[in-house]
Amino acid sequence: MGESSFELVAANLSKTFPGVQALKDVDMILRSGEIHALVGANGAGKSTFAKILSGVYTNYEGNISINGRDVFINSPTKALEYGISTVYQEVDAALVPYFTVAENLFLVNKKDERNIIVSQQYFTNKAESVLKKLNIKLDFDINFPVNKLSVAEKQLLLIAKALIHESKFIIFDEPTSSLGPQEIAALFEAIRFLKTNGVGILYISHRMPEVFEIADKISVLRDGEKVGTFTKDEVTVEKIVKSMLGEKIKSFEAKRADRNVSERKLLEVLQLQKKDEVGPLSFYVREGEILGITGLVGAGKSELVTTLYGARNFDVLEVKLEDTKINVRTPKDAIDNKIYFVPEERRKQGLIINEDVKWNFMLPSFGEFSNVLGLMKEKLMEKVSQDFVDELSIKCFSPKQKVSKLSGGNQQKVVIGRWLIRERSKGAKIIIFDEPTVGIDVGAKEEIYKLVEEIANNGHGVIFVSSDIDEVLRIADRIVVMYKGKIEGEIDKEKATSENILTLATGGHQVKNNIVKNNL
Amino acid sequence: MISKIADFISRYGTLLALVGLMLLFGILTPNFVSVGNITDILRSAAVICIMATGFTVALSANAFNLGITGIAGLSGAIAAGLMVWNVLNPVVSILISLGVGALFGFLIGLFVVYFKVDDLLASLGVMFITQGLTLTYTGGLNIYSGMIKPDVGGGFITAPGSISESFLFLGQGMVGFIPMPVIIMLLVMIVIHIFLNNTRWGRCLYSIGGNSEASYLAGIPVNLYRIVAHTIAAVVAAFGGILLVSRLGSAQIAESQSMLLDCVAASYIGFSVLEAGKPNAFGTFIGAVLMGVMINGLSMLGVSYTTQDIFKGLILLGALTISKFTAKQ
Repeated sequence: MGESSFELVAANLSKTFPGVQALKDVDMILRSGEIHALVGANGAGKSTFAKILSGVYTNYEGNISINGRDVFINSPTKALEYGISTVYQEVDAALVPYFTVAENLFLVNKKDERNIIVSQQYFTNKAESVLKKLNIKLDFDINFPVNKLSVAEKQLLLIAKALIHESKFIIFDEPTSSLGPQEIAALFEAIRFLKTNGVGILYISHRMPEVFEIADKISVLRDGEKVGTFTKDEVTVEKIVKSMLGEKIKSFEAKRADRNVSERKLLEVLQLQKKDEVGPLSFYVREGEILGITGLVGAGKSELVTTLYGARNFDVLEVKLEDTKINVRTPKDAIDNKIYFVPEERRKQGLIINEDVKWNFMLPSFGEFSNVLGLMKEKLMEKVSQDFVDELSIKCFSPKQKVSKLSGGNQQKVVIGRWLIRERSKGAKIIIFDEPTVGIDVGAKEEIYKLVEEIANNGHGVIFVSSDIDEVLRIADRIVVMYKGKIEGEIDKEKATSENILTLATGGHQVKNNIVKNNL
Repeated sequence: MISKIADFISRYGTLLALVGLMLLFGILTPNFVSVGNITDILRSAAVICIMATGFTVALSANAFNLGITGIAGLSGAIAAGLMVWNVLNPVVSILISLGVGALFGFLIGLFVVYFKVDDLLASLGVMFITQGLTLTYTGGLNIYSGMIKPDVGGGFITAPGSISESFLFLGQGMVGFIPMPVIIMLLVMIVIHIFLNNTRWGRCLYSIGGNSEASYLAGIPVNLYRIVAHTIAAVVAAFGGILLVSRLGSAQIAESQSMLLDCVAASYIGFSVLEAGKPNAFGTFIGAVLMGVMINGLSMLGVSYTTQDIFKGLILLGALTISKFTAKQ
């Protein structure tokens, strides 16, 4: 390493996906010996940029040059040849689990070293000599199968692998999302070691404390465009957060209906924890209130609500519903307590996709719509289904149409409708929505918002989970912001702005005068 | 126009194939379309149809149960053994052997739910266990009235009991011109069809089969239903095994085991009947009859027994193609 310097210049880099401009005229200069952080909200284009540099996306527009020479990175192998390696969030994608560390280090052989027969000893010797030459120390046995390693160890393995390939530049894409504090510290030590050895780093993250801890330069992307590149010592968290948001006006405020929220606490989560995933945390929902839960991807929002709904293992869960303690161990327990859930992934978690609207409406209520012999009351089901198709204005020929033929918005209404049907026969107390508008067009979104508001107006408590900050501002009476599995703050709708939400969601409140509190 | 034809084929293709085969055999062999021969076909299809219906129940919850024929064999042997060696009353013998069948279905469910063993492998394990138990229990001998077996202390002993006439009526009797096993087959098929399609429990099984995660999140106790599905499958199959003993008049130890793949095939052919697109009892019945018609017709034409499996394979492939065709639409 290190004898030659490395400078990558990207100019006017653009990338379009069907219907989305993911990256637009981005210029960037990345150098050896420098840690360059790339930040931005969800969908800002960070990963798209990384994937172009690492050869995953090949039909981009714009120009990339390395050390003054124009290059076209048309495959991951090509990226490696140019000296660019990537350590992805999902480390397992790049490793063969039952091969040893040594074998994984040499998965991609160089052309001149292709052998027909290889032995375990061959890999061990080769790995030892190379690691020694490069002065890399791994704290684990290189004859260990990779599936016995922790995520942090796998990352170090990938870094070692990058060095063996003589990489001059390493991209880290959200590397800390599943690491604990000590592991993060060890990773940062490794990254600093790389820097002193003249390797260039692109560090992608939306966690401000980490960025301010490790970066030399910070570039901000917003909606696929670069807002600016700042030197860490000359910029503040406030400035970065503002750049991530842009000059957005609070356009949603006007649309938000003023609603009467009772003071009475309907649901109190006294304690909720699952080690290394979510919590410890506590919160409450009032009668007729829409509680927004937001945070960036990986903040633990879905983990929180699925735990509350009984669909996930937990260490501690103490919940009070209308001042009575309840036990929720399975979704059925939650439903029996009149807590209902609209899951994040409609097709995977919500719908029986090959069945019709009626069937999907009745899914939690087969018992209510059958007689003592267990026979289904077809006529009644049909009538109720037709009523709710009309009430929710679901576009379908009849309740007997398969849900696979409906649009995303109408499918979502079917999932919501099943709980409204249940409400009619059994009542409802809490309805949880997990990212209910993902993949739904704008018009249908507004319909879903109205539906959610109506549910709250009927005196039920609503928990509305979304990583779209604007959406939460539009709908919530009170907003809870999560960061790294914990609740970092709670904001009333009067005081809520995109800025104070994003500051909390990126951990920006832990950075003061560019000094990171809490040691991450 | 083309799409209308495609619709028609995907809906009625398998039934048409059944009618077409019958017409073809009817033209080629004079005795094919006779009351005697048709009842023969149905009688021989009955046991496979019932065991396959059990397989279909498990499959409705997307659970693959390969244990059915092993369990059927064990239950049949136990029923016969209890009557012949323990001189038990037929009703009690049947109930005990159905209970043994249920136990092994429950066992499969338990392994699937609590030890996360794949359905196919758990049921494969139980298949071997039940086959082994059948051999151990019978000592490798067929069980029949008046049988003789070696005594523990040397010499031979003769079975004290016998397989009663009332028990034999189930598999050999006639009601008018309709054989009793055919009536039983139709009853089992109708009951299971109603159970799967018209009761809350059937809806839950199909929902789990369609999307177990969504079913779980909608409050359906998925694990309980998995165990129940395997247990019902085993009981229905055990009943098929008992009927087989009655039809043959003795427990022939390897007989039901040879029917496993026929059952699987009948169940999958059922997907394509009337565009069901999923396992169903009526379709399974059609599947079993379709295979029975073909085997019967071919042997009447003098086609060698050895080629039968080739034609079974072709029918299965044809039916699967039709049902994939349906799914695409």
